[in-house]
Amino acid sequence: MRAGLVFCSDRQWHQNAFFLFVLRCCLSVSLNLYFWLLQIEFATKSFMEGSELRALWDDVWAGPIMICLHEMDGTYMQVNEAAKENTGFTPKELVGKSPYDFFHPEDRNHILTESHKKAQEGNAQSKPIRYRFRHKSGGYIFLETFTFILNKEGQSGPALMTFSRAQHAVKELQAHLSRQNNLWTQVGALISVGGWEYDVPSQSIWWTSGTFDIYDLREGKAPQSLEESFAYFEAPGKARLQKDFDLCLLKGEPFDLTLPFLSATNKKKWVRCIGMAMPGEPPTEKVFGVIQDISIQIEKQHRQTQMLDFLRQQNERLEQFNFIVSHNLRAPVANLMSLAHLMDDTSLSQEQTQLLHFMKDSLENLGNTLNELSDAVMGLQERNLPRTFVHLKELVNKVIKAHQSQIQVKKVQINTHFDYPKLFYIAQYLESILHNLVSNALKFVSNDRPPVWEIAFEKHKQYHCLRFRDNGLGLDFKKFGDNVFGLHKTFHRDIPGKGLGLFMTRAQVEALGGQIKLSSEPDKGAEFFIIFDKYHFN
Amino acid sequence: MHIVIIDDDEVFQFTTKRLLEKSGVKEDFMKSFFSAEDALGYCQELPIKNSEKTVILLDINLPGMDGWAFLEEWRKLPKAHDSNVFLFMISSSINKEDRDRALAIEVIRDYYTKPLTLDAIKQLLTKVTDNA
Repeated sequence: MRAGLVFCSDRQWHQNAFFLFVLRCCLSVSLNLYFWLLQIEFATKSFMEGSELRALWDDVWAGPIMICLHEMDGTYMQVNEAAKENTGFTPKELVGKSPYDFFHPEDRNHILTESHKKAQEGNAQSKPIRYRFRHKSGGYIFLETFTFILNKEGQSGPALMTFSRAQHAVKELQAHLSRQNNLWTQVGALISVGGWEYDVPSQSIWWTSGTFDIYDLREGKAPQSLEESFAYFEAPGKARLQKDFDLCLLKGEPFDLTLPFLSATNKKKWVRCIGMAMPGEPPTEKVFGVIQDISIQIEKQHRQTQMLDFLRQQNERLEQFNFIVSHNLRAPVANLMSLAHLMDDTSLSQEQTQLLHFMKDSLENLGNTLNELSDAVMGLQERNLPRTFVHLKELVNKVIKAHQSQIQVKKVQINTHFDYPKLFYIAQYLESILHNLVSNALKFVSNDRPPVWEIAFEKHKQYHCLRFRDNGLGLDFKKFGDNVFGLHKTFHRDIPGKGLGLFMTRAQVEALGGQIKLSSEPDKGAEFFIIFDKYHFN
Repeated sequence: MHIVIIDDDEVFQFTTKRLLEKSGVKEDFMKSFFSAEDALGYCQELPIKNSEKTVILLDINLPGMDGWAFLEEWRKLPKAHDSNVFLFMISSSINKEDRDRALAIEVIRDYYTKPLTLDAIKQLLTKVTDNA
């Protein structure tokens, strides 16, 4: 492509070099242009003589690129016809004016420093400058411009020359708008939102398709009046909306209301209606906002409230139940125990002594069960016990110590493992959980082998857990499954379980957002796996 | 030593009196009430002689004015804060909340769970006599 230079005479050098420079500058403006210029450059190779060059320049001048000759301060001296195509202004309308009057105010400084001054100082530009230029139709378009200084012989002084090209503004803007519109429609549909606008002077209402969807109206059939659009809101809410809307119109106060709504197809909905006035001094000329169908959310809220009420009731019932256990049941049992103990067994026959003994035993059992039941119910109730950092080693030692005598008698070997020293938990719960696991394991020690337990606090990627494994009697987990954790479930006929321990353990673990699992095989042992609440760790 | 039993449970009153007797307290020095209101009236009039100790055994679950309500009134009396008056809460509730709540009240010396055994009564009386 540089071959064009070879054909130039010395005399023409200055002009020709400039022209090629312009061509090269323009090359980077766009690919389309690039091909167009290629053709021209090809032509220059063959006919690069004085008159042909002149003709070629005339071609460029008549081409689609806006070419302007400026005073050094930027004032238009000469403008080609392409100005009209690019900016909407005819050359006549531009000549004599300052281009700064057409630049977007925010871009003026940038143009001055990055292009105008550099060109004045004779610095060549390697890239076009991109800025906003006021189109005759009112809006702004993007122009890409090369500027350089021109020292033409025979002219009174230096001048500036610009080559500009409008980016296909309208097309781009259309594409941009349509993309925005599509996205807005999709997003709006996703969250059931529609937009609306009320123009005060013309009293006209404009809706987006989302608003039509919420009203269950056919698109394009927007209400003719505010009255009509308010008519779909149900009684008390409607008055409130009208009041707030008027306030917005008169004083510019925004509103945000959640209201019951009846659509055109008589569908009951809940909508959120947000509106605000166009910025400026009130009274405003335009009010706009969004309307959102929040029926699902409101319904969820209702369900949650119902659920909470239900839970509160359940909790109250539990409290009542606990009171009955604590007082109405425990009191007579306590009395019976006292009476039995007051009974003087010295004067009784052997059989009566035996009967008294059985009675005392039964009463004791009954008393213990009531105590456990009371504990279990308490464990289910919402109690505001605080979480603290529980020292795990200390706690394990404490629990083992509490069962020391049995552990010694049964010769249990206990292996412990701590991946983490502390756990942010309710200390009482953790103690009770460990206590229940230990007494459970003690109950199920097998006589066939020395008992070995593993108590391991393990740290996994997603959670912290406790693994408690024994090699005791185990149980057929496939058969019993989750029943192990049920209230009053015992699985070994020969072991006096009251079935409360594991029930409570699960209640406590789950109350803190955790999970408990059991795997077990008959006569091999059992393994409890407790995942603590993964969101509360140090 | 003077003992006041406040409990609506006849059997509890009976067994407690027996146990107290077994621990060496004479029945003449025991007074029992089925209602907290009556007991409060009596306790207000109770003369506190020098060196004579008064032991009050109070149940929580009472008809009408319950143990907690009794305490609200009782603690307002100067008598309640006398070092010769010993109030014990005796309840069938094993709930930690009840126990903690009771022990947080300064006029309560201790909390016992029913049934009261002979050992418990003896321990209770020792607390009173040791606190001379």
